[in-house]
Amino acid sequence: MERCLYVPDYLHHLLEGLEKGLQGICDKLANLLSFPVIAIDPLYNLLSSSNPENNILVEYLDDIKIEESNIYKCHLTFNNDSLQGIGSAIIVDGKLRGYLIISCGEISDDKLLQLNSIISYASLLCSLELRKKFQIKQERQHFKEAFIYDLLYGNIKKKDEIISYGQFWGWDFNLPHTVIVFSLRDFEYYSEDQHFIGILFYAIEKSLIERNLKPIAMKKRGEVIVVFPLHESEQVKKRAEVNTFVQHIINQVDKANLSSRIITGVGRACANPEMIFRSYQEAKVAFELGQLLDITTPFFNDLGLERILFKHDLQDLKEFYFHILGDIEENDSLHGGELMRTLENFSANQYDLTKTADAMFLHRNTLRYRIKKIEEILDKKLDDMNVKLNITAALKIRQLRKF
Amino acid sequence: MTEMVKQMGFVFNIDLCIGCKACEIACRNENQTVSAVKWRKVSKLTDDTYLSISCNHCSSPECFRVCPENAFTKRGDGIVQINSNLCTGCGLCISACPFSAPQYDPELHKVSKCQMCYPRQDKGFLPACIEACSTGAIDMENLDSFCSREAVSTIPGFPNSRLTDPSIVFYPAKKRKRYFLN
Repeated sequence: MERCLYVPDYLHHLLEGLEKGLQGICDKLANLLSFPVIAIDPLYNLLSSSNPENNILVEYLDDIKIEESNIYKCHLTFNNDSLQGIGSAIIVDGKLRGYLIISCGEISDDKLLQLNSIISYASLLCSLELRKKFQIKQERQHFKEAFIYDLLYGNIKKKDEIISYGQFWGWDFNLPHTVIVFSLRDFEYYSEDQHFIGILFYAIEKSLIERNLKPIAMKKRGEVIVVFPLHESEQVKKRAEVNTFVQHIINQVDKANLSSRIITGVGRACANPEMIFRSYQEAKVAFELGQLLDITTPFFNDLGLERILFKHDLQDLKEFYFHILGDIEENDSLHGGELMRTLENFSANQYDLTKTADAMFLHRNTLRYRIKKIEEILDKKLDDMNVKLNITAALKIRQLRKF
Repeated sequence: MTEMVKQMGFVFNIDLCIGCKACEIACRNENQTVSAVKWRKVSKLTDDTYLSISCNHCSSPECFRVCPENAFTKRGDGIVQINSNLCTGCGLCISACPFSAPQYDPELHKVSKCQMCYPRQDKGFLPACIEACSTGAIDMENLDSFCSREAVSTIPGFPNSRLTDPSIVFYPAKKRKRYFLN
């Protein structure tokens, strides 16, 4: 039988579009289907659109594919109006890198199956285009990473050398910088988490570019390290700048269901680029302690006693804890009381009766009774500064899960 | 500038170590350290298990962070080095390291530490301790790509490693079987 070697015209059109990258593919597909077409990344950020002036946003994407096709249904917004659409995943090397979305409104299942083939073909072309882009980016990133690694480990000892290398990539190391470490809670190297770290890295780079900053960031095993330039001079404003950035990243990765797993740590700001390595190590300390103390964005600057206690000898800490609070713990386990929780809250509220009573939804007299009971068990007065200090230290040891 | 970023680290098999201290001696012989300086130390874990550790070339080295002279650097292959010309012998790194890896040299009044025999490695040889180990208890791998189901990041008796993320993995001691001859 004679084989049919005819290639349809519309495939030629789409291939011609590939010359102009994602934009070309979206334009050609929009022409063919007479519907607006957009390409988005996994976090629903716009990569390309057939009508750039019409700002179509993807609100929600159904997780379940339509049967016998590679198409997802999705909800779009355009000028505050809600629209229906369909989309196909853009997969590069087995990893989701985005979606190709067609704003077609309500559509019958028959029509949908007709479109399946052409949309899948177009998303395949998008995959080729994105793969090309990633390869170029990876090549550039390779050189960048070598420099950032040296910066993070203090391997370049001369300030002028760092500044001139930085200028090559458009980084101004005359500004003060701080290091922020991002990672995922319970990160597992040989799992899907590696891909999630890639998404996190992408979101960070994108966010920095949106702020007109040339990203100084690298992936290292289970973490993404950002050397963040600080434009503000006041300490409070610097802090707010970092907090806003971290919060923005957490919001960004929410679409990939990662926001609850994000953990961070922030080092001290350093005006001298030679000292960036110290900020990195500080960020890692803050990162570790932040996990134990349940702080969303831990700043190394904010860590006090915890830093010393965390590194102290375990046996010594145990002895200290039981010496100070052992009796309260024993009493609670024997009588099922809440004295330890009360003491924790009392300490967290700066040993203020009114604040603690409000925080615990207790009557002041009930709280007063419990405090009296604690004083009896400990045989110490809780208004003594030294007693307060010891109790706070013991509670911090407990918080650090030293045993 | 660094060319390729990786993290070399030690792989230690508890069951294979017989506590012969050949690694310790090879290290001293290779690096010509004085008697008070032990870059690699073998200690007894239980009645029949031993632990041989040196500097673990941590991912977040505390020695690095606390050094006031910025004497430490980390090579592209993950080896943490100390520049003895910059070291003043203040000893801050010694107290900061959970593994007591940096050692004070009373003759030079400076601190020195295991450098994973990088001069040997640069020539294509294995570190002296690995080469001297007759049972193959110590080995070296690129931990960025190393994967083994049986390997663990810490064992009982090894100092708390959470903060510094040491570049060492262990094959823990397996329960031994007893066989009888009929």
